[in-house]
Amino acid sequence: MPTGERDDDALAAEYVLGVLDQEERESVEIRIRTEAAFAVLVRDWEHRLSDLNSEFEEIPPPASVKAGVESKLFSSEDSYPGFAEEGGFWNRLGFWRGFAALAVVAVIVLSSLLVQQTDEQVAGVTYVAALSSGETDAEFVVLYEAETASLKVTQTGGVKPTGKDYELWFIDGDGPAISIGLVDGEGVKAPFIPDHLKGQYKEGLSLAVSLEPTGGSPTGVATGPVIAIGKAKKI
Amino acid sequence: MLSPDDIAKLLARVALSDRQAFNMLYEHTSAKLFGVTLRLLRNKTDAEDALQDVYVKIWHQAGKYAASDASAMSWLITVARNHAIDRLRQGKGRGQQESLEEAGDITDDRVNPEMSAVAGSERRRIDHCFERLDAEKSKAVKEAYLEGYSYKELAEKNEVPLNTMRTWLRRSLMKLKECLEE
Repeated sequence: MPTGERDDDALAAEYVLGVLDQEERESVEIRIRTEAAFAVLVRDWEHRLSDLNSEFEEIPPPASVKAGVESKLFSSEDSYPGFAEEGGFWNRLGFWRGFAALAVVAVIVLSSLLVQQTDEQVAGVTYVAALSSGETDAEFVVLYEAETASLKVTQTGGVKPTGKDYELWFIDGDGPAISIGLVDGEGVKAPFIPDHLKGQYKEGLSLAVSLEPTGGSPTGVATGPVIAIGKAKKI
Repeated sequence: MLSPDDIAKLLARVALSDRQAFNMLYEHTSAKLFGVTLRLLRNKTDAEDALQDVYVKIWHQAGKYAASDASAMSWLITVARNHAIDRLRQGKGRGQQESLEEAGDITDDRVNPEMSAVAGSERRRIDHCFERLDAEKSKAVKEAYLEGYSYKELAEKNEVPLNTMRTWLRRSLMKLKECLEE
């Protein structure tokens, strides 16, 4: 073996043994990634010394370790299956900033438009909610007139996939989401606020739209992804 | 206990983002890998922290295993060892120099003759080659691999200049290689 190769072989052995300092380790790691022949030397040493692995004992780690791994890898998916995405959709600050700004603008612009259109009907307190997610292009505006308990839902963005329905949900604080009908629904599926919920329709109430099988959720709880969400605001 | 083949199959499924396979892999390999991070970092909190990072790496890098011809368990241990050694060299673990000797004593106690005999039956080939080295050099190589000592630490422990330590270890490693290839 020529001197250069012998030095490389020794360097590979030192790297696998773990005795190098951080700077040397980093330069070796670059060579492993870029020089196939050098990577083979490292792999051979890993194989040679792997006989020592039997000296590492088996010590079960505490359960908190697994929980930590799961939260690092999967927490965003678990909390919102509709938005499974690397990086944690719901944790992205940029999203919330953008969403908050968008929501405020949408509420001001759209509510003024809708109020003008329905000027004659709006006698008592009226609430508007702009629903969107920033993740899909589906957007809705929900207008509620407290005096007559009339609810008007208008889709302002996105196209409904075929074979699916949009279902509107009423979420008061930490309470369960309650279906208030299908967007564009007719008859019993038309969105309306039941008498017992009328008193709960107030500023800050959350409304959400999920994507459900045709005819709406078969179980009474949202089964599909939530594609738009927003809060009611008094106007 | 899963066979080496089973672990390789689980790793292949993990490469395809199969969470069920990942859970099974964790269940069957985490005790061994915790043994690795704990032995190298010698601090429970650091070892637990490192083990989390190791499994995050395994989830993301499982595809790389297919490209290596190592046994699945060796590959996992390599990931854990490399991560623990990087932590040591970056000064994130085993910070206090004074704890080194203390920790060394613990390790000497743990390698009791009974355990060595059990381990020895599984790795007779390398043991036979280690026996051909001087006792202190054999000890230095094993300590580096199993305890994560750097050249600097080994030189201090053996009270020799760093370059002497480097020459010792390089020669010992080459002797080991020759012996293993006989």
